[in-house]
Order: sequence, then structure tokens, then C-alpha cells
Amino acid sequence: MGGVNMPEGGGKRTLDFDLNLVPFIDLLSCCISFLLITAVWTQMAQLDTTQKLDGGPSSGEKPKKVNITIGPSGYELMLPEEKVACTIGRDGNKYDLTKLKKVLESQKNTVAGQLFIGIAAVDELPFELLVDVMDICASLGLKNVSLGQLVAPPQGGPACGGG
Amino acid sequence: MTVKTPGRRAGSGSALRQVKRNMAAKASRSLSASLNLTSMVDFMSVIVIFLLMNFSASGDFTYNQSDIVPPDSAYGAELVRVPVIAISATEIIFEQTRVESSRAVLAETEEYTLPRLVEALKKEQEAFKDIRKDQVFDGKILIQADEGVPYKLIRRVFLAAAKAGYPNISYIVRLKGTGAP
Repeated sequence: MGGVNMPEGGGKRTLDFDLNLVPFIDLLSCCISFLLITAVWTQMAQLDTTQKLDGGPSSGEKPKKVNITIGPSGYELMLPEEKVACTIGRDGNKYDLTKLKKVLESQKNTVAGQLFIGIAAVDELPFELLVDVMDICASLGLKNVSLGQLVAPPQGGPACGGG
Repeated sequence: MTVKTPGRRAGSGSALRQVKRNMAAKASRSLSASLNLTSMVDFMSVIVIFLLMNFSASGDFTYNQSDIVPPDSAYGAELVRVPVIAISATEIIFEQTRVESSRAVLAETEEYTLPRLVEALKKEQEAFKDIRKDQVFDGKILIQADEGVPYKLIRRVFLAAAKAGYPNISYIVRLKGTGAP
């Protein structure tokens, strides 16, 4: 048995009461068992894409789209106002996600209206490389992301400016 | 020869006197130990708070398979319950049912459009429309793929899903900093 002392509030009644620890410990044990069973140790989330390209009901013009191609040597970007694709080479063994983020951020700030992102990759590359790019898009608040089929293998071109 | 009561004894040599004393002390020791309840209740409360922080009421509808490790992401949105296609290096599973072999799909030509998966997706769509007549079908589907699966397999699955009327495809990821490395 445990006693809990409460400060007296001026009345004559005593505020002390006994707390029966046996049911209290039983309750805590049940809580621990229940929470252990229902605990989620790995937090899952989702990255959204859409296979529709919708420029909006009022806009008659072609939607602004950045096409990102993931190749074995890095990223190749076809920007909306450009005619030649630019490249972001690999930084050693890693893909340069920092530079890709800079380029996409500058595009997001310069392009008026919604910016669409199309991502494609060489067939043999692992899925995680696409998720890295989708993650960058999600971090910039770009919601119109679609995955697609590679039309032509990356050709190589001038390095992207990065704004 | 004197008669001695049976039991444990350490012998009669003078070198064993200390051992005899220790044995006698142990025999008289009580078997019950006192437990400090304040510390125990504190300890249990801390465990309850820790587990409450890990509690999730939304349930777990993703596949817990050792051969499907979702890629890491830092900006994923909260999961919404929609049908799940799981893709591992060996098989493609739709709602707990194996529909295709991954190796066979990879070996097939581009004309192969995963007919069993398309059929299963169309059945799911019909079931949704039959059961939830008051709701608009939004064509949402989740793909839970292993991080090492080649893009070719993912591409063929999402194209099949889009063909079956599911254009809004989300990919299950593991939030960075949680789970096993």
C-alpha cells in the first residue's frame, strides 16, 4: 500500500488517501502488454505520383514540364524553356541530389503556374534511385510527379547551371 | 564412528572452515527479497509513456516480408488505406495473392502487359463500385516495392495499373530514422 499526501486546503477534512498499488501495477502491466503488441517500430509513408498530365481546365497552353532521366552516369534534365538537355554528373559513387534540388528549386521559382515533373530511368537501375528524386520533389512541394518510360538513353550534354 | 545427519558438508579439513561458515550463512538467508515499489512504478510509467509514443491506431496493412525493404524517404506523406501491390525480386503480390512472377515478367517482351494483375485490379475496381455506390472511384493504388528491384519491373507494374484504371499511384517508403538500417 502506498500513501499519497496532498496539501491541505484549509478545511478540516484530511486529503490523504491510500492508493492500492496491486491493481495499479496490474493496470500498468496490461498497458505495457497492449502497447508492446500494437507498437509500430517502422514508420511507413507514401510518395504520390499520377500518370495523368493535366494542365488545368482554364489553361490552353502546354504544361511546363521538367523531364528527369536517371542514367548510370547521372541525371539528365530537359527543362521547359530549353531545347537541349543538361546533365548533372555523379559525385563519385553518389548521385548529386543537392545539385538536382537546386536546379528544380530555381525552375519552381521561375516558371509561372504549375510545374510538372516526369521521371524516367534506365531499366536496370534500382527503384531507390527514383525514390530519391521523388523525395526531392516532395521536399520542394512539387506534387505533379509522374513516372514514365525512357524514350531514348541519356545522351550527355552541358552541365546544368543550378541557378 | 559417530552418526551424522545427511546433508551438504564441506569436509573436515581446517582449510575448509571459511567455506563451512559461508555455507551456514547461505542456509539461513531468506529467499524473499524486498522490492522498492516507488522505483518499480516509475520504471513502468516510463515504459508506458515510451510505448504510447510508438502507438499507431491506423493499423499495419503493408507487407512485412524480408525480401521487400522499401526505400528510405524523408518527405513521405501519411499512408492512406487503398489496395496494395507488393513487388519483390521474385514475385508480384496483389492484396495477399500472388499474381505474377517477377523473373517471368522481366524475361517477357514489352508486349506482355501483366494480364493476371490487370484482371485482379479490374475485379477490385468492380467490387469498389458495387460496395461503395455513393463514392467516386479515385483510382488510387499503393505499390510497395523492394528498393533493389529494377525500374523495368516497377514500370511494367504501374503501366498495367494505369491501364486497369488506377492512374493515381503512390509508392510506400520508409521514413528515414525508423526501423532497421
